[in-house]
Parts: sequence; C-alpha cells; structure tokens
Amino acid sequence: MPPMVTINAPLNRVEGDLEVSAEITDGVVSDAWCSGTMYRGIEKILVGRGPMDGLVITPRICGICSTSHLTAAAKALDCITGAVPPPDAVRMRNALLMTEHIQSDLRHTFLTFTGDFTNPAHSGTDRYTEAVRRYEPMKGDTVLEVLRETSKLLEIIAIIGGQWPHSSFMVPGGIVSAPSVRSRLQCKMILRHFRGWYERRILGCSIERIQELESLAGLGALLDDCALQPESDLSFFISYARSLGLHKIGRGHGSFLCYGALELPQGTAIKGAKEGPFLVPAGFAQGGQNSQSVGFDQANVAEHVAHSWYEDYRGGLHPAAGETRPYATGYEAKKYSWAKAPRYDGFPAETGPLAEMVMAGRPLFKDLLEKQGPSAFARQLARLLRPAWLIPTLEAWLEEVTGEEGYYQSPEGIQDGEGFGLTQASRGALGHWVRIRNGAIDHYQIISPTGWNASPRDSAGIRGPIEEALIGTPVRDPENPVELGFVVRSFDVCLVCTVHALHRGGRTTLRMTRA
Amino acid sequence: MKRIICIGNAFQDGDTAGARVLARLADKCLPEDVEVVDGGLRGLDLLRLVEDSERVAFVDAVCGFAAPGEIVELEGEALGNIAAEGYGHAGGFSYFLGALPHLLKAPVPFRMVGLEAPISEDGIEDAAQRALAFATFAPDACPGCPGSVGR
Repeated sequence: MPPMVTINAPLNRVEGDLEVSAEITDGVVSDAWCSGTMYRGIEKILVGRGPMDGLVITPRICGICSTSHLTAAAKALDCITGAVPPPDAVRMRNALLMTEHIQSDLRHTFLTFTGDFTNPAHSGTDRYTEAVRRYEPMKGDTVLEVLRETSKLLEIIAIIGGQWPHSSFMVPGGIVSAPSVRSRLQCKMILRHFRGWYERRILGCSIERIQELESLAGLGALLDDCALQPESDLSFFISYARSLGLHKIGRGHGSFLCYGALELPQGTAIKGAKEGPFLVPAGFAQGGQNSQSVGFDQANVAEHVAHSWYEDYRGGLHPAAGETRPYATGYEAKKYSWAKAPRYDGFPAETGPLAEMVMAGRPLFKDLLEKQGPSAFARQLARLLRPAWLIPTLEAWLEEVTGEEGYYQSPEGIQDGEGFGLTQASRGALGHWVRIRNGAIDHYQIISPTGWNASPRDSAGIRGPIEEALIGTPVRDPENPVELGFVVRSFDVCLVCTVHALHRGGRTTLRMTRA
Repeated sequence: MKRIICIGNAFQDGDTAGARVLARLADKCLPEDVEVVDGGLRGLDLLRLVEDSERVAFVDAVCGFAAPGEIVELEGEALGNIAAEGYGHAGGFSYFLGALPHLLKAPVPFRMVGLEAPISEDGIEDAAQRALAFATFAPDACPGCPGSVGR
C-alpha cells in the first residue's frame, strides 16, 4: 500500500446525498472531509408562506423522521403563540414521536449498520455465515423480522395521526384528533405485541434487565446468562461487533449535545432521568471518556459557513439571525459542502442516542465511555438499546390518557413574533427557529441532527464530528473501506432523498454517491 | 382488492412517469375491485398496502432496463436485484421491491411496469393498459363499460 492515498468512500445505505473523502497515510485515516452534495432550500421555500405551512412542509423534509420535524414546527408555533397543549395532547405528541424513534432505531441498526457485517471483507471471521443469515440485505432473518414488526408498530402513528410518514396532526395548542377509547386500546395492543417481540428476538431478555445494567461487566454477565434467548440479536451484535474491533474506531471529539425532549405532561407518574421538564434531559458535555453534562441554552447555538457553499459571514450566526444564501462559486478549494457547520458555544458536538445516554447519566454507557471511550460500537449499542427506555414510558403514557381535559387549547390566532421549537429526532438534536411578520413566515432556520454530525469544518478550521471520528481509523483495503462505513453509519446520517427512478445495478438517482 | 400503485414525484423532472400514468388511469372507468394508488415516494411503508391486496401492479420510471422510450415489465429476480446496493435507512422503493417476496407471508402476485425515458403519450397509455391488464388478470379490463380502456 502506498504511504498516502485519498479515497472517496462508497457510501450507499446512507439516507440522502453524502460524500466522504479520506486521506489515508500508512493504512490509517489521517484526514477526512464530509460533504453534503445537494442544496434543497426548504428554509427559503417557507419564507412568505402562512405561519401554519411549516406544519405541512417541514415533515416532508424527511420520510423517516417526519414526526420529529412536525414536533419542532409545532413547538415553535407554541412558543410564538404562548399556547399550552393539554396534558393528554403532550402525551400523544410524545407517544407518536417515541414510536417513530423505536422503528428508526431498529431499522437503522438492522437495515443499514449490520449490512456491513455481511461485507465479504469479513468472510474469514468465525461467525460470518451466521451474520449473513441474520443480516443479508432484504433477505436476512432479522432484517425481515424487523421490517414486519416495525411496519406494524407504525400503525400507532397512523391510528392517532392519520398517516405515516408526513403526518400533520400536531398544531399549536395540541393535536387535531381526539383518539377514541378503541383507538387507544388498539395502540396499546400493537405496542404490547411489539414489546414482546423486541424482548424475545432483539434483546433476548426483559427490558427491565437492560434498564438495570450498570456496567460493561454487567452486560457481559447478561450475555453469558444461559437464560438469554439464543436467537436474540443483542448477544450476536455485541460479540460480532467487538470481534471486528468496532469498539476501537470512531472516537471523535468526545463532545455531546442534546436539546432535551419528551416534555413530562402535568400529572404524569413518569419521572425524567434528571430533574427538569423532559424525559430526555438537555445538555452539552465534553471530555469523551469522562463526559460531564452542563446546562444547555439554545442561545449558544451558531452556524458557520466558512467551508460551506453559502455567502460568507464572520464567525457563526445564531439561527434566529442565520442566513441561507447559496453561493457555490469562487471558493472551490475551500468550500466543500451544502451543509453548514453548527457549533455549541463554539464547539462541534455529536448528537444522537449515545448523547442522550450521556445526558441521562445511564450507568452502562457511563462505564462504557470511561473504559473504552466513544466509538462506532458505543453509538450503535445506544441506538439498539434506546427502545428499552422508550417502550415502558410509551406504555405508561398511553395508559394515562383519559381525554377528559381535551387534546387542544386554542391559541386564538398566530400573532407576529419569534420563537423556536427544539426536540430530539431519532438521529439527535433538531431545532426550528421561526419569525412571523405581517401574518407570514419571515424567517425559518432548521438545524438537523445530521447538520451537527456531518458538519464540515467551521470558521476556525475545526473538523465536524464525523470527520474527526474518522481520524485514526485503520483501512485494510482502500478498494473496500468497510471500516469507514461503520464509523459514518454509526452516526445514522440522513441527508434525505429526492428522486428515485430505478436504475439497473441498484443505483438510485441522487440517492447515493459513489466516486 | 387489486391495486395499481403508481410511484414517483409529479414535480421532479425525470420522475413523473408514475404520476402521469396515475392521471391517465383516473380518466378511465375501472372495475370496482381495482384501486389506483398514488405511491409517491413511499418505500417500506407500502408493505401493509400490498399485504392487503390480491394482485399489485407497480408503475414507475426506470433507467437502463430497455431501449429509450420503451415500456418494460419486470418481476421475480429482475426486481430482486435492483436494490443490491443502494438504499437508505428508510428502505426506499427499490429496497422494498427486493425484500417483498421474502416479506409476504401469503403470496401476492406483483409486477413492475417500468417506463424508460423519453416518455411519450403513447407510452403512458401503453403502461396504463399493461398495469390494468396485470392487476385485473384480463386483457379486456372492463368489458361492461364500452370504450373504457381507451381514453
């Protein structure tokens, strides 16, 4: 192998248009660039439209996390109007958002991440045949189970929200439907079935046993427990991922961000992981192995465009003052992405399920980070286990709903003003910043989770989280750099799709990039 | 129910074929047990719809399967190989087609009617007729409704 080569990683199985270039020196990644290759202009499209249009247009940003965008859009209008949704509306908003997270966590893990377990590069490993049997794309036993079960689960959103994806059931002040007793019962039955499957097939044990885990040693003991279901995927996932060394790659900056999500409704018996208004606490943490979270203030968010194809401005701008002026000419050597570079208090930060585990102070992940540091394995394990914390709360909230106080409190019109809606999408921190003037949208800025994770360099030249996580990754075969795929996919990047005319050979127009 | 599911985006150049065939079928008198569905950009979430169908004809733009302007009908392995590499975590339509034979617990006959660009008005009509013929499993789709198969 030559001492230094530059490769453009073939990143299929990524949502949207992402290119990753890596410089490899002596078989190890020495530098990396992450580029979003398509400008969509959703923020521009919204300007001049009616204030409620964001509730219909922004869920169309993405077909896998449309409920997250709807949540952020509705919360921004709640913020502007001062609307306070009734407690049961909060429960229903939360329930449907959590349902979307659960399906996304499992589909990402078994449709995209473990697809790399079946890469021929691993054909010499002991359990390769079993990996193929479980995870072969479109045919693997686990893949097919996940497709069937997550499709059923999503009926919860369709029953309450009318459709999935791209539902618009949330409005400022609550939700538009008043779910009947029968509908709620249907949802509970679907969830009960799903929980049984998740415990039996994915975990191999009860959700409660996962929640009780306090350390890596405890996780090891659980996997050694002969009572664990032999067909379960958690055990295989952990042992196979570690055999491939995924716990040693993808470290990154070691900084984490969470906006906080799933407001605790008035009167609920559910407690958040920490004191505060959310089930999933907000926070920013640095330090990698010993990350301690500090408070989060959205005023500290800023976006840089020094390396993005937009008209330059000095340093970073808060999204309430942010600008989206495409400008792709004249800076080809410096600018390389349509994604901007969001920073918190000037620092890059990764976001997603692992960040949520850090903010919640989950002992298992605290121990994992202390012993091994952030990694591709840690991120994916957090994603695979997140439903173990979401499902019981989802059950409780569906049980608590009575409908007696209604599902909607009218804000009596949307006046001019500014506001923001923050939440946790399946992939991490999502924010909409909105200004209404003269009865129309005057300003709309969105920072998505992949905006954080796949950001290019900022004004100071600091790499984005994925770029940094790739540094130090060994690449055995530049023609088949499967290691880079593991690192990038552990962030569950989503740059969303547009055209999808079928192409012979599996190519989907504008859907994936292959240099 | 027998279904014709038209895939595509009427607002995206190069991806309008499904929407145009859907519009053409909407002008026709169809048998009562045939439903024409706008599949839009949907992928895996079409599963529940297909599971609930007797027969399904998909209609979409294709590229590289036939000569320019031709209509192709694909099924079996020809569809299974489409998504060999490329899909996102939402699955997407090509992934869905590849997985469908393995997902269905009870077999549902399905076929893709694909339109290669450039797409002519005759091509739209041809695709609409082929989709209807497959969905209804009869060359004369609506015998009780004279002239209904043409425009």
